[in-house]
Amino acid sequence: MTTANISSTDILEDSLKGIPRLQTNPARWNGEGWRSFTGALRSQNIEVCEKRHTCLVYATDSGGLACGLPHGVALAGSAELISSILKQAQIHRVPVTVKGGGLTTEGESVAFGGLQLDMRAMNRVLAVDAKNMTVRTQAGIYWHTLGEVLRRDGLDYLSAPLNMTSSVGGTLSVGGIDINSPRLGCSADQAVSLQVVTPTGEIKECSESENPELFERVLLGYGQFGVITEATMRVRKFTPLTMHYFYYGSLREAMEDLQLLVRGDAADYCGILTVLDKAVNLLVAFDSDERERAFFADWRGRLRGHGQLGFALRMAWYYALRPWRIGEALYLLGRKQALEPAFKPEHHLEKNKIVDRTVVFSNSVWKFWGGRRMVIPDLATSAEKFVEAVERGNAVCRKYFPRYTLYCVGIKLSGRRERYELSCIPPDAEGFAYGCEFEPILGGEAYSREYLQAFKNEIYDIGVEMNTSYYRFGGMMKGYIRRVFGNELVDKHLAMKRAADPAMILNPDVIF
Amino acid sequence: MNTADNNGPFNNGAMSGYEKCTGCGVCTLTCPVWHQTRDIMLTVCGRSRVLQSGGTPEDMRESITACVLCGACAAVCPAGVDTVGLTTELRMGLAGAAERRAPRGSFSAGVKASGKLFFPGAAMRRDGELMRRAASLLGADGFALFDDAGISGLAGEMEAGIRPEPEELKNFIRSMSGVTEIAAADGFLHRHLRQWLPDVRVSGLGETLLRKRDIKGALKAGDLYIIETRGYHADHTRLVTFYDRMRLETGCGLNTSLQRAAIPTGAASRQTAGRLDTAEQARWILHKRRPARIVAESVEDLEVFKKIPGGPEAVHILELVPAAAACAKRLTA
Repeated sequence: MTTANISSTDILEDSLKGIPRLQTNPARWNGEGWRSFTGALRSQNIEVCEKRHTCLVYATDSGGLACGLPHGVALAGSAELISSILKQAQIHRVPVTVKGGGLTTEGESVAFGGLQLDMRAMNRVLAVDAKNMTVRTQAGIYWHTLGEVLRRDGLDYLSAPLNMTSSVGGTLSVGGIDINSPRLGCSADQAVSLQVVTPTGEIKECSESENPELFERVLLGYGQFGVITEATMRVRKFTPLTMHYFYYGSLREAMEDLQLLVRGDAADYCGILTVLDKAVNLLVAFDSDERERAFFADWRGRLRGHGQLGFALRMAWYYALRPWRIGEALYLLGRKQALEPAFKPEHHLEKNKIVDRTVVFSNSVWKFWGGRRMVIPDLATSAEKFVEAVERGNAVCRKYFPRYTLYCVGIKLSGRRERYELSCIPPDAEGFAYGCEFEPILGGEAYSREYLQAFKNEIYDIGVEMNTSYYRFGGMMKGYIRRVFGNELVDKHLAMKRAADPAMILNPDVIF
Repeated sequence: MNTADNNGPFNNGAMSGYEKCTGCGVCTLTCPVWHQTRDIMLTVCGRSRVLQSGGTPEDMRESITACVLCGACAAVCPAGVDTVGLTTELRMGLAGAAERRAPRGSFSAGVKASGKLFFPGAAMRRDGELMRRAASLLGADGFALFDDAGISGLAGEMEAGIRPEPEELKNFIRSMSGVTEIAAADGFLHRHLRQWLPDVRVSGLGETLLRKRDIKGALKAGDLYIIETRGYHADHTRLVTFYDRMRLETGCGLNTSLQRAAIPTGAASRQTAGRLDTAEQARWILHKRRPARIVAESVEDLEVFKKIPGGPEAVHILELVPAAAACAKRLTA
């Protein structure tokens, strides 16, 4: 349970300030071969930093619950360098854990020994092809940096996580969901072609026409079948957007309306964000005035959500009759007053349209939901299972935390793809999948690791029971993969992994 | 109020909130050192993580000295870490910092200033013509040119990691007891002047000049306006709106990123050990942009842009004045 008397500003609530974080998980690799491995790399002028304070910087990921220490860190400067590293890693059987933005939440990018390969040194945009509307970029680049470069040409990427420090390569390896995913699909589906360094160190180009098997394995492949070093992706013209909010007192009604909009392609962007179970926000946004007008002509009347004034009056009436719930009412009011200006900052508005919405949203995500521990278990379901999965997950949130936020989106599928097998896309999804993140508001409370992990596991268990999947932050996890997908499918992919990575050194323990 | 007596010149003691760092990396998106090196260890994010892991300033000497203290990271940090204060304090914690003190003028205990002052800064003092222009323009608004060599020297030492002598600081604060407003060209001073002199309004040279209609009116749609980054980021919440309105009114471009942080050249940094290539920063600011003219607030930035081969005409904001006067004459005619 909670230990509220411990300051939330301590290093970790259950450690002592000033004492370095230590590897809490038992070492999965005993260091055998490390010296000969680094010796071989240094003979090729590849620098491996083994300084303790450098390794400690990589001790955890955004989740903040899994802690491990690499034996050393290498900055990935080129595909050739990565190739040399992986070749030596195969020879010396040294695990290599790849890190981009490090926005995993279950320790997927944390090295429990071995080499940590920091991809962020590979973050140059190589070519912008405005004629064919594609960009070629190194894969360690943050989406935000990519967006910054594309904007100089009046362009933008299609869809990316609402998180400025996700890397392109990491995102393509797990999925990547945006509030325009109901129209444009997950980020991985933007990829036109990739340069990949295989676990055995071969540098290969792949696409739907060139090495298609590798292309399908690497996309949504949890980093098991290669390190993505370059990517060619589709881009679009940059547009500011207009946004509208509709307010619901019922989560179920909001979810049903979200699905209505997703199925009907009614908005360019849509998603659900809850403040309380009885204060649910359905946001819709548009890239063009035409789409906005069409929405209000054809769809608005079918939604059960209220405008701001109507909903405020309903809430005022509700709490007037229940004065003992004044604390809840004040929380709601405070949250509204904090969130609204943050989502519409004056310096990001032009002619009442939001400019650089990814910056606006990402800043708000970090400001209001960020922290030393990002506790965001999620579920990805078919359309049919969506409402039940969210309601069950919501009940788990209620059990563990007084305040929490749910964030739900639709994800357009790109037909039947091999890449979807054993991925964040649930096996029974047709046309669209739906995702929901369950995010407790931790506030100043100090929760133990065990408490937070127990919460996450209970959400993940819903996925096992309902035969769904997990998207974005959580991704698929070793402890769940067989229970969710069954032995036959997992063994099929494990055999492919063993063939591609004989020493099983690349991103070990993430799913296999 | 003498805040130096109460809290010291920096947010010392709490080490500027490094423990709040979540490691999100948003600060790196605006960091010029990150932009050029892509090495997390050389960023404030890396420094905070080292501290959280029990590291010492000596463990990150290279990182601490690489920072140009532009403050862009502070403007965007979602956790509100005082990144500039943190790095400055870490510099003061490096062994040997105090030995770097160079001879310079000090403050006279008996001197008293009053009213509105203009601090030209070290770079502008080297350019007599620009300083005269500034003094003349600001003088019309009641600003008196102040001999700020002493405080400039102190700022240089602080940037190098030398903690100010408390007595010297007290003398400076006492000497400013009658001052109501300061326009300071050196943006590094802004945060410290606000701490030391909380009742005094502190503005940058650019902001002060842009309040004049003829100066703002001389900016054109094809101009790329280079904001002095240190002062801008030291008061980002207020100035982001000020400059955004100016951009919309004049149609000029700004050296701002998507996050509305100002992209620095790093030229104002007094750190000779810095690893930042200022020309590369200028080229990144100009990347895919074709401005007709560069208008810079800071003398240091101006010098960098003037050296870019094939670059556009580059002028200081003070040099807009003749154009403004001519424009005004035409309007009158």
